[in-house]
Amino acid sequence: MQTATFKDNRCVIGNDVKLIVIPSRVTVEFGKTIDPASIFVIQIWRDGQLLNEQPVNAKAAFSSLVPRDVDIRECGVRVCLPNGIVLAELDVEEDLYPFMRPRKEQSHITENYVSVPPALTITDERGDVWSLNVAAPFAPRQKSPDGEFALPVMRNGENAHEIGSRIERRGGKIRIFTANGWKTWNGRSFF
Amino acid sequence: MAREYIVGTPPNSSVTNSGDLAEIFINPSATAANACGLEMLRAWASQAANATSAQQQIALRTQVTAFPTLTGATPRKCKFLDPVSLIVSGTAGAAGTSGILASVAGGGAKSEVVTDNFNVLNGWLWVPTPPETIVMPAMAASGFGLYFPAAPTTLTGWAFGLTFRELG
Repeated sequence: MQTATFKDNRCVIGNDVKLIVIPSRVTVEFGKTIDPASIFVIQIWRDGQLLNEQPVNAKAAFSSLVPRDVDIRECGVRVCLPNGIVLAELDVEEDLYPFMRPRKEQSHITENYVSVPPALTITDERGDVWSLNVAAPFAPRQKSPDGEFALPVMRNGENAHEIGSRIERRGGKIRIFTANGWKTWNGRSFF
Repeated sequence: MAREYIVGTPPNSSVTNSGDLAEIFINPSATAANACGLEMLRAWASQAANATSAQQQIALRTQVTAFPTLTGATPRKCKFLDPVSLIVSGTAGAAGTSGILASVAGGGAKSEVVTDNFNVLNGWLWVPTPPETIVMPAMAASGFGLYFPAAPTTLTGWAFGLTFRELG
């Protein structure tokens, strides 16, 4: 699908909803027949793909600055109900054949409360892969939690410079169980 | 002096679509000259073929003769200066040998030791506590293995490993 470039200033009125798009701003005005308690969804589309969407209520007009990295002239804008019924739209081109496009790289984030062991690896939101170094010998008893074998903790295949018997993902954070108790990853080190 | 070794498959191995086959099998030696017990320290399984979530059965078992038919695999040293393992590569699951990726299950009776299920996206790692390690004595009539009771949905991209310690 070729990227289209639309007019700088566009406006449409449909179902008492006025949609105005200028290069720096998207504005939605709701008419008198619209229930102020209603919730609508504003969608930004480009090249047949939904880029972003935001729920808004009809109590007041909606106006949002367009991010600098987005050229709104290449985008269509749609105002619809949460169930998908379209009220007003400008230049939205949906991709009817998404299977023809290259697929995006799949990424898997490990669910909360998964623990190594019995899992072998944990993947967090950054894509970091956490595991215990199964190729290393067990740590000496004085460096291991009481009653458990412990191994070096690995992050993306590199030694994280900690010895632990378990790695857990809980509350979106990575934790390890060491001879000194639980430690949590803060993005740079365990503390 | 106790020495540790690893028996493992290459990282992108394919398993047979038959289920209930040993992916790693090791049998303690039967000869007095090479007699040593084996202490199983940890085992793991993972796949890298795709990112599709699926559940998979796995088991650690002992098996008596007739043993599975395997691809021979030589245990690797954990410590570079250690001597080679008393366990050697073998395809018949015989005493004193180790192998991987069975093609034939073998008719010998199997006994469950550890049974578990795991999600293939997370992999599986078995690390016992020190009192829970599994010990196969020298000249035992059984071998020990890591099995898939049922064939996985995806047969390719698997890696398995078993770390053991030679006793005596």
